[in-house]
Amino acid sequence: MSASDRIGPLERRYRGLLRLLPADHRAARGEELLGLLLDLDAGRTRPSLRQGIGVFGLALRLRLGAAASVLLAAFLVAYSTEPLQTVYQISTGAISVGVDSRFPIQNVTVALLIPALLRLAVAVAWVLGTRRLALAILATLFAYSLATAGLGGLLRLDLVVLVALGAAVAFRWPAPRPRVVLLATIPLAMLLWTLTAAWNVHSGYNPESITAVVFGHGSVLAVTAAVALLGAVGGLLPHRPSSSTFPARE
Amino acid sequence: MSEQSFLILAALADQPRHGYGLVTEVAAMSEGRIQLRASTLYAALERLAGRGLVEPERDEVENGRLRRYYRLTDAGAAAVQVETQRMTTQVRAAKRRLARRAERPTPRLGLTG
Repeated sequence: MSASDRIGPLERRYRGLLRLLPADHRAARGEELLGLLLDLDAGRTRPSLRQGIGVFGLALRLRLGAAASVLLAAFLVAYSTEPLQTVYQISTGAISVGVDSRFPIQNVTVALLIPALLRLAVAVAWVLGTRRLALAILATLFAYSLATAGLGGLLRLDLVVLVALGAAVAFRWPAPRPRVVLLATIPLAMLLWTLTAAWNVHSGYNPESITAVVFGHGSVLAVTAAVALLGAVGGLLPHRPSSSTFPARE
Repeated sequence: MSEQSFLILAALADQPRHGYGLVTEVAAMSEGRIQLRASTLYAALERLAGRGLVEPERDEVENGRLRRYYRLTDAGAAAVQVETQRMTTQVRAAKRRLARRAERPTPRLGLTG
């Protein structure tokens, strides 16, 4: 008698339904949830609508949360490496940057470096799953912008990041996976930004033009999409069971 | 703390229970008003374990079904205690006001003057 003959129709159907759950959740608690479902629907041959909808909703919530988390990580990587464009343009002499006389920091490099490093730290903290640290660093970034009376540029993207991180905490999005792949996309995103800047410089880029503004936003989205794609592909690679509070069953 | 979380924690106060035991205990405590779905309990236990209020105690296999038992941690017991105290205070305050209302003479409808 094969294993599939030994299990009843209800268990077979529930096992099929549980495949909707992310693999790490299924590995950690799939058997436990199956046992509970079989207890609650004892005597039936098909899953009840009530429990079936519940499992479907749970799978949707877990998968959407995971996808949103990777997308946010990709956006943070794109946003935090974007200053590389400015650095390239300054280094090639395509643009020149002066510091406002009222600005507390008169060294251009330091004035640019502080917010850039803070943004990068937000991205790394989020990818590593330390969401409180990510929020704390973001708060520091805002404090820096306020302390410099907005002259350092309280950018709209920083506000977008604040809203996105707030949503992630409020809706309990899981930590993005896989961490290593997402961290490895940081140098790749830096390379993409440098190439974008090089292309802009050589094609007669005018940072004041509307085309440049639209292109700038498009570039953020394009780099985000590239990083998210790599994160999604990395997620398909075999990896250790994640962050669930529960250990995977042997 | 949500009512569901409170009931799950309270159901674990006297002894460790597995998922099915929790569903039936919560239904009994709420006089049948709250019937937890398996998926809801799964998510709630994950959340409560993440906050250190409950923890898995042991696994047992009965009739080929895995049953994972959970127990209340000391932090979980303290959380139930605080929530119970808060609700008791509110119930007492509500009862006092209802008693005052009952003592008040019922207003009569009619013409004055």
